[in-house]
Amino acid sequence: MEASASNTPRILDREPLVLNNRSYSWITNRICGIVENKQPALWWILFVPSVLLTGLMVFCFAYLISTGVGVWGQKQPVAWAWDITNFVFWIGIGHAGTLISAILFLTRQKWRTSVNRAAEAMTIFAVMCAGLFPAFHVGRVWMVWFLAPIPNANAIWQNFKSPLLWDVFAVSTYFSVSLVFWFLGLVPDLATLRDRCRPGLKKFFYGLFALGWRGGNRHWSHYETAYMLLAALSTPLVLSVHSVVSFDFATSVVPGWHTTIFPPYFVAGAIFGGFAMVLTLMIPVRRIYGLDDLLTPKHVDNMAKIILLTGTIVGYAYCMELFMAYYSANPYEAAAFTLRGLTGPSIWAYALMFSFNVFAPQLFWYRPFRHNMWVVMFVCMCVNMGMWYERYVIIATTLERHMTPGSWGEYSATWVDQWTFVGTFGFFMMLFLLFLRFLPVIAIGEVKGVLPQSDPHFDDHAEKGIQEEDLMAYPDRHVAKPIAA
Amino acid sequence: MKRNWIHPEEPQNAKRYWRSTAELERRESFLKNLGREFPAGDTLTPEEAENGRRDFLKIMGASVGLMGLASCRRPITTILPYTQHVEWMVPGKPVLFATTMPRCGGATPLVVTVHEGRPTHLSGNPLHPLGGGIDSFAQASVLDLYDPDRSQKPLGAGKAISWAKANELIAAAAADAKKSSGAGLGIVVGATTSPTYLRLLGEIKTAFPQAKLYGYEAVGGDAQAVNKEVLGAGVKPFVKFSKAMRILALDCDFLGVDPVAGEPIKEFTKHRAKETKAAENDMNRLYVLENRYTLTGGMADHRKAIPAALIPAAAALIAEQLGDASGKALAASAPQALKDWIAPAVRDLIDNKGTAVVLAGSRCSAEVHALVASINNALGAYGSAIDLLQEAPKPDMGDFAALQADVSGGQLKTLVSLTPASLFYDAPDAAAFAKLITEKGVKLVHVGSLLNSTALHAAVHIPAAHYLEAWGDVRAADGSYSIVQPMIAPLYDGASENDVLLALLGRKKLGPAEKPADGAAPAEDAGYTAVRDTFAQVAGGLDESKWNFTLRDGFLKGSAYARANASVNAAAAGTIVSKAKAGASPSDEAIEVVLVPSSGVYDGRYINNAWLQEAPDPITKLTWENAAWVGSATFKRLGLEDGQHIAIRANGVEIEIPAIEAPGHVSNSITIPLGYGQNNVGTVGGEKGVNGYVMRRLPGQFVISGAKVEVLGTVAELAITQTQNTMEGRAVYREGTLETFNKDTEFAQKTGMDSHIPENISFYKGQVGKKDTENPDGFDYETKHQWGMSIDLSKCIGCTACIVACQSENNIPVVGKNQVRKGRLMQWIRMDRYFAVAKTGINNVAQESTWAEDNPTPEQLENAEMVHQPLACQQCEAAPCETVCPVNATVHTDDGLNAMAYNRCIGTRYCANNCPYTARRFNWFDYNKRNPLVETEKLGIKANNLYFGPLGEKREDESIRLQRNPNVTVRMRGVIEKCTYCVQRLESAKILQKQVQRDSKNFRVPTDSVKTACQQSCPADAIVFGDLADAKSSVNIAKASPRNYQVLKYIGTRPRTSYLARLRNPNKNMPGAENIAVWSNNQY
Repeated sequence: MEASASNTPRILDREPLVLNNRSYSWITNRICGIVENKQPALWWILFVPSVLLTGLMVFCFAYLISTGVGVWGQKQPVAWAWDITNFVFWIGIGHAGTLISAILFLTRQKWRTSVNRAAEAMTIFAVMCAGLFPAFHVGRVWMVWFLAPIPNANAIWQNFKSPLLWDVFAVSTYFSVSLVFWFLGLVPDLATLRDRCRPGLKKFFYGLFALGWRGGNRHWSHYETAYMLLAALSTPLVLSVHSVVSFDFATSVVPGWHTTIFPPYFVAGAIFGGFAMVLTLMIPVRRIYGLDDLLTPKHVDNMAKIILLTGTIVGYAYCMELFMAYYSANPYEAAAFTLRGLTGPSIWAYALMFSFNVFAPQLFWYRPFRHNMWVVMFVCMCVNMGMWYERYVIIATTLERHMTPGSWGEYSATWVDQWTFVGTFGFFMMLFLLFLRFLPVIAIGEVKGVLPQSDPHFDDHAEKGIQEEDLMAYPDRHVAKPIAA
Repeated sequence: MKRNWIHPEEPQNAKRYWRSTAELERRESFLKNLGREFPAGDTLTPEEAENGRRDFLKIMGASVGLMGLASCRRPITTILPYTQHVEWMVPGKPVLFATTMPRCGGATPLVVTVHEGRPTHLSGNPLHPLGGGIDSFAQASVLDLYDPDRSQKPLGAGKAISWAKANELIAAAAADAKKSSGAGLGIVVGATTSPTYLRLLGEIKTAFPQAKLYGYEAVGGDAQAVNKEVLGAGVKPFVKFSKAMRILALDCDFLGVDPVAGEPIKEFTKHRAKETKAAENDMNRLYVLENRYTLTGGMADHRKAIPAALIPAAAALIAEQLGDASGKALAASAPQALKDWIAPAVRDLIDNKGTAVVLAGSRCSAEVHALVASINNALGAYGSAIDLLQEAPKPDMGDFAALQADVSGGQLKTLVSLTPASLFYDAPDAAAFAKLITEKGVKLVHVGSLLNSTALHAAVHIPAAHYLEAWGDVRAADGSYSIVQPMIAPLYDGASENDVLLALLGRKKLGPAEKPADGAAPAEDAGYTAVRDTFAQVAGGLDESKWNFTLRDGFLKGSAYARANASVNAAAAGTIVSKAKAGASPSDEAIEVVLVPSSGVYDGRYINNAWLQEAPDPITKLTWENAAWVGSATFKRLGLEDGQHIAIRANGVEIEIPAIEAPGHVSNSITIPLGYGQNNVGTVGGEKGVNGYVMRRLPGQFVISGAKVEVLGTVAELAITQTQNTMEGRAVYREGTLETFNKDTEFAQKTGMDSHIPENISFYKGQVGKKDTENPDGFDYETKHQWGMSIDLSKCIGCTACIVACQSENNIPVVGKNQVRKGRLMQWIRMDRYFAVAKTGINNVAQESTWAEDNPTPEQLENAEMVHQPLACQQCEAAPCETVCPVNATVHTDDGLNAMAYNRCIGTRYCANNCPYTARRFNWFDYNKRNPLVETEKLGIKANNLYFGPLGEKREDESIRLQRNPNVTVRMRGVIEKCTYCVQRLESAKILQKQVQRDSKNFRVPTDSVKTACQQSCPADAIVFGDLADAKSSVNIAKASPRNYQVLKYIGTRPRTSYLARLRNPNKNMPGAENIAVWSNNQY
């Protein structure tokens, strides 16, 4: 037996998180460039309709408030329909952001750095869209402050038994923590932008929000501690918010709603839908702004795997629901699911839900599909729609077939329902496009942290060259070896 | 403004002091200024007077005030106390008066709730021998009083004229008739039992001997004419349902819209409810033969759907078995299935001779009535289960055919129409009749409260007074004499029929009462005097105390009709029968059309009543319009869908009407409810439905055979309130046969899968059950009332009286056709109606079928069973709606009510979702503020007014607001509402008790002293309400019944409203008896 090099196990190269061996300055220039340069024509093509749709949304809400909830399609057995469907849909989308920024941070998933900023922004905008619905779907929106625990002369307190009240607290907590977390992460990058600006209004505002960041060690040290703490704080929120939202249904007595599986099922569904939305947004962004090196196929691949996992959990939940309905021997429970999926008036919605959410992600078992951006976009679109239908099925079609058959009735949406929902997409897109325009879409400081150059031992193992400019940036660390032969 | 001093008159015999010679001489210049505060010369010019300093300040002040007002969120309304107290009147406290509603051929005794002079709610008069519950027509009639579209001014050929002019025209017509001693004068009257009305008609006959009287009701039948011949003049059969244990109804909806003298509902349903094991003969049994489902058919133990054309054949068959062979020819046409059905039924009747009766519907043809008289005679019903009463003699009247003949013969110059029917709309061949009237130059004087086609085309139209506005009297079905006393001065100066007759006799001027001269006592109303005179005749003298007692009690004691000395004239009956021709069974090619009065608008007279229009039809659940009822098998054969238009050609006319599927309807037969399709009658009634009267060519023609039906392409969106017709195997409604009950009295508690599911166990000790050491958070039964309700499904016939009563009591808004279509009905009580077809299921156990999967046969569909279940808030002890309300707007009271705080509600509607009974209603729009009944066009868009929000039309019809119950909040948009067991009544009862209680500790309202509106209205006494903490209360007794069950008990909501399962009493020898109430077999 000859001892040879082949005997030592070959260590597979990890796919680099940033391709093409990009330098620090390239990253800074590329990301800051998005904000500093003129926006491409496509930005304007998307932005103008988004603003118009936002206006439409405002009009629809104004019409709703001035005229009555009757302008929507709800009726006797179906007191909630598109309003709460949209609420749960948007809240669900808001889940990916915090999951990426908090849970993946705590689990040291370095690939998160390229997507977390955009995902967090998406979270905040989605929660804003979500919040509109429960606030405005009520009959008397001008009395909605009754939900706030404000001491009043009537000495009437809120009903803390009501899951709707839990919703109010859960969603508002989630929103504020997410906002603070996002803003904290932005601080070093805002300082970078500030430093690159010419004096003026821009510099003033970037400076204002950069909170006097100078990039000193003490700053970094405090920053990272705070970031870690906030990550730890938001981690339970990822699980709690959608669990609480699911309690709206799970704690009720309505067959088809009253299920203990709802909290984990809703959380999985939210992550599922959230990742799909992140990909839906980021795949075009990376192409348009030339961020292919930062947001690589590996990132997309990772997220596709999460979609596959959570999609399968959701599929399991669907099947488990059906099994429990059968196994419980409760005729009302059984009928709720039979009517949803087999004989009711909205079986088309159930069929769409099932195929979009359970069948479509199965494409991701095949690696080339995970790396083909067109396929990924297609699946993500399916999931986006499927997750909307899931909430529609749970909310509207269940109520259509309530317990006493004498009260059964069919629901159909009106133009106000539809345009309000479309309008929230406009609002969401408008906010996201403004985010692209004014803030760094990728966390500059964090991405640099996962570059091979940031490894203190980088030079020890360096096989490939480092750019000269990097050496100049940190002359004390990288003096010893000249590069290349 | 200067004050005008009123100087006291100078004393006559006193010394006189004077200031100036001018005063002494009482010069005019002095006297002119005497009343002035300031002397002459200080006067202002007229301009100054108009815009003087004080006025300026006043206007400025008001403007500033109004500026403030305009910025207020709510308009300020003030309640002013009476400076001088009005007798009887305490604001917020209603005063109750007894009166009577005159009905077609009878009367409904009423108690009227009057708030500050406004009648707001009606209920039955419990003192009256025929009192008790009232039907939806009577219940809703209070709304007609305030109908803003009511006729308000006299019309001359369709144009408004003054009352003076109207009086002039009537006087001229009377004078004209007087000259010819009445020749040329004709008066059309409806079916009335009013002694004053009849007496005045007699006086007209005396004053105008040649004048002619005609009787006309739109949906009247031949019954009276036949009775006159067969039983004798003025003989009226009065069915004693308390004694009738076997009833066979031939197309007779005696529980619904067919008037049958007696106490059909109350006495009939009394024999339906059993609490302990009972023999078959202790419970009554109802057989029904009809072409469509009626409320009576729904209550039947055995029902068979047969074409209406075969009703005479069925009557003949029954008569034949009882030994009367006069109808042999008729009986021959009966199919074998009908014979097989009738044979065992008649055997049952014979076995129960003396307590068995056969009833014929009022619109049945003459031979049916003749045969039924003969059958009842053979069954020994007369004198036992049917009383023959002798009515007071009536003046001779011609029928509609005579009227037609006289008009075309040119014998009439003036025709006065006093009938509630509308001659130009509902008369046979109405268009031709209207043309004839114009051609022959007959001056039509029309009296009515609706601006219908007759009113608009009459030479003179007089607005009719509502019965709550004018004096009158009437006899109830048993002859009890009642006075109709007005509750309010005529809102629009309308005249009653009596007033018009008095005007013709020259004893009264119509229109607003003349103001009496100063100091003079107001002239006594001639209408009032006429009633007093009649009372004196009826009561044998005008005894004031008797008069007052009659007003107080609502009827004169001991004034019922005497029994008639009559017997059946078999020969006369035979003659009528022999003249009849046998009807043919309809076929695919020759379909029969049956015209029936509708449950909503009767013959069309209630067309403008929004409550009745919105109360769902008990059978089809259709609101706001009519549709052709097509039996399921024919419906499928024609390939129809609900609302699809069909063209029906019969009798030389064609109508286009939307079709609706009607289970339980016989094939090849179409039923059209009458009374709809009257245009221009107002916002409520206009443009609603299709006029079925046009198919009728002869007065008694309600069944038209040989119709052709063509299916059209267009589909109308019908406003149906219930689309799900079967219970899908859920034991929401429970029923069983007497046999099942005798085997296991507690069968109802074991029916359905629900009863199999173990009760929920809660981690939390909530406020449920009685408070004791085990359950410290329970309800306090010691010191508090605990309200509860029981609804007996054995008694409930499914009429909509409770729905309308609730609407009237609780200010529930009408939402209009558009919103009903969208499923946004506001009525707090829902009347669920389920059809059932038996099928053989698992383990050969018959069970209720879900239609979609079973494809029942046409035969099964024709004879599907039908049940009704009224469902309102169940007042759950562990109410799922309460826990989910985030703002505590719906909470539980100590006395067990699930209360709603409307002004705390923000309208999340979570409670509505979480209510297992779907009992909660949401105000999707401002139904009270904006008119939901009209279309509006704004910004080039035409849509229902509600959809324009603040731009839409506000409700201008202030008069409707006068009906509102001041003790119940009028809800705004965006809040949830629902039944609260009439909490306002409970609270006022408690307040009263607190006043009565004084220092004693007994704070418990007297047993059964407080009633909910639905309970009060229920003609079947199916609803029992009361205090569960009071051991003696009827509700406790009702709930102790073994038939008691809770709907959806397994959820653990512990509803305070529970139901008593329905019992049915099938005859084992009848075909299909084994399928009756198969649910009861489905036990676990």
